[in-house]
Amino acid sequence: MEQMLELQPADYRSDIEPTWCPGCGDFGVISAITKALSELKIRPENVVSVSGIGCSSRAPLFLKNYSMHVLHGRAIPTAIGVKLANPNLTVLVEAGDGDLFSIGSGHNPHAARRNIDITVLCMDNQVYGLTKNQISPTSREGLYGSLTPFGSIDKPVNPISYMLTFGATFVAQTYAGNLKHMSDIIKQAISHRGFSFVNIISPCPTYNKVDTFKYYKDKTIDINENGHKEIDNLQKALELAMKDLEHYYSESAKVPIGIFYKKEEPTYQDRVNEIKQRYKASKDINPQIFIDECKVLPV
Amino acid sequence: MPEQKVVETDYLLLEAPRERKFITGSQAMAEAVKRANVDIAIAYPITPQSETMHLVGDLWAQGYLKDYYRAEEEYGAMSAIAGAVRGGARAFTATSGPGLLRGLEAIASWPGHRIPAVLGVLTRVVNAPLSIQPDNVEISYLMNCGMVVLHAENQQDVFDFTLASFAISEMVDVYLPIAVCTEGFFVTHAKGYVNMTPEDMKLPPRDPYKAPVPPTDCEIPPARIQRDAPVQKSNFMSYLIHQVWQQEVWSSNMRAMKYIYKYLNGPIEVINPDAEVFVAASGCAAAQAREAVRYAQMEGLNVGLLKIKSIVPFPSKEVRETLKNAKAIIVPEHNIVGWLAKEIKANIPNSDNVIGRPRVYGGMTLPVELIMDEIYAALGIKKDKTVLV
Ligand SMILES: Cc1ncc(C[n+]2csc(CCOP(=O)(O)OP(=O)(O)O)c2C)c(N)n1
Ligand code: SF4
Ligand SMILES: [Mg+2]
Repeated sequence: MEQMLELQPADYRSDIEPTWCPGCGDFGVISAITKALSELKIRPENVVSVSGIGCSSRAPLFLKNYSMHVLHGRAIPTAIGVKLANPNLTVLVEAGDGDLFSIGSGHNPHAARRNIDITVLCMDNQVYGLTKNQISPTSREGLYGSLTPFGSIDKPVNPISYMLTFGATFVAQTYAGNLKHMSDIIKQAISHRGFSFVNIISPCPTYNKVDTFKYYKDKTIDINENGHKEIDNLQKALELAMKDLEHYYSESAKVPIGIFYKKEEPTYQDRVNEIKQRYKASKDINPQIFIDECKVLPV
Repeated sequence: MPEQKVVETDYLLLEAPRERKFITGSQAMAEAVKRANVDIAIAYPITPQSETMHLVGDLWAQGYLKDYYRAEEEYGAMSAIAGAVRGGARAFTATSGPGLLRGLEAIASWPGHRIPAVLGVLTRVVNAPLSIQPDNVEISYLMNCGMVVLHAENQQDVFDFTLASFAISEMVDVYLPIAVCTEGFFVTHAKGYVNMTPEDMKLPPRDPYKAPVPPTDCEIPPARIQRDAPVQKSNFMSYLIHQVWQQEVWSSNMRAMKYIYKYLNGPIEVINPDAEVFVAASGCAAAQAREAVRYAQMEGLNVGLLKIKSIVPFPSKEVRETLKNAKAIIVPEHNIVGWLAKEIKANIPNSDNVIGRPRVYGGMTLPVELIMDEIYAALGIKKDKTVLV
């Protein structure tokens, strides 16, 4: 068989120069993605990145793998379609906090609870960057935005607890200022069989003057190195997740990064295959048996 | 797995023996899907579409489809269709009324993203007062997306249009989504005779490598416009790229016409080409128009039928030619806006001759008497009351 050349992270980059502002956290995110893919030895032709609209959603354009750049908020369902059609592909969603938790927030719960084997990377800058500074669902209270001149009066969404309660089987947080941690977490997320979600704190120096690299520099704490070992314990994961936003309200609070939760469960595709095996598709099948059997089947 | 043999597209659509069955429009759509070698169906339920997608779900259970996925709602369903088709699958979905309008967000971008999918549109009221009744105003929203839009008169059309659409949509010189529209309930839940190709024959599988565009998104204009600074920062470049891309989409749309001729016997059907007065209609209204023309001819009146099967691409030349000597053109419709009347007016020189009546909406039936009234009026025949027996 032909020997495949080992690919370096740079080999996963397209020839397009990113259009992001100097100092944008998203530069780090694509470095982490390319590092993770090269270390996992997944070839670009077997990867599909799907993004919505936003500065962050430009990420796929700067990567060499296949991609789809679709409507604002619709990256997850599009990625699901790709995965259903072609289960052998590694399917990544690369999008922003606005894309994933505002306009597209209705798709997360269903992808998570069905345990569809895709990896969602949320580049969370707590702001709408592309539309030039409006508050996002993850913005802290009081944050200035062009439509909220007196500061946000909304409570922020907690992306970690959100995804945990909807049944995601891999939930982690990382930080764009820590390349090693970021690529390590992304690697584990991609390797996880099932739905994986990584919230990546990725500062926007242009518009978010509060949640900056400087702010996060000494704020993060690696939960896995500090006692959180039982990562298949949902209760513990939720307790930790509830502390995620504490730093918005208390100066001494830290920002937890690391894997909150990871559990192997049958994926959507596994369950479909199991049903297919059980019923052995046949032209003579009377679909009524599903209706009858569902009444007694353990769920 | 049920044994089905792959046969040539031309053989299946044009030559294969046909068997006559008495079935509903929903069944006719599902029977076409069964013979189309579909990989995946994705949908979200809505009346009156639900029955069709339920029957397609049964096809999955019977092994005719590889996958069947129920999305979280129509934004999700239509986006997943785009993903699945770009992922290499042949995909089918159907929706109705409010589901179509919700899905339109993604559907509007399918043609530009070059997504050859087949979409069943089983019409339903979208305007308030809300209702589940048949009304086809939603088709007007579809007409400007760039996709091919066919309008089926009856169960037979539903079968033929759906099956042929899978073949036409994937032609390399077309490569666009196709909507097969028909009236909810009137066609979907009523039975009619359908001549169907054998159950054990299916279309060849999709070959996703036979495509007019490379599959890497950032190499093609939908993403390219946003990808590099010179393009993105120069509105002029962006306009130009968008312009040539959309021109290509609409040219591809027009190229579907030759396949509509080949597989669907042309975009129009004409009865009595030398008629003085024409009733021009599409979809279910064409069935009533057909009846009206039959009555009129029984009464010795010189009335003809122009049935329009393809709404987009619109058969401008054919419509102009058919109507060139018509004194009056009556356009009965199942919607309040009269989109078909407008389209016909826009395509013929003597547009004053178009009578955009009768129109029924909100699910009302279209009695033949209403069309006859317009025929009498157009011919100057005075009647107290039109009662047909
Ligand atoms: C349907 C729709 N509504 C609104 C917009 C405008 N819009 C573009 S990007 C964006 C928010 C982006 O925020 P986020 O996802 O956080 O990305 P960021 O730019 O911060 O990386 C909005 C509202 C749009 N493109 N489409
Ligand atoms: S506006 Fe903010 S998020 Fe967008 S590219 Fe600039 S720094 Fe990055
Ligand atoms: Mg953002």
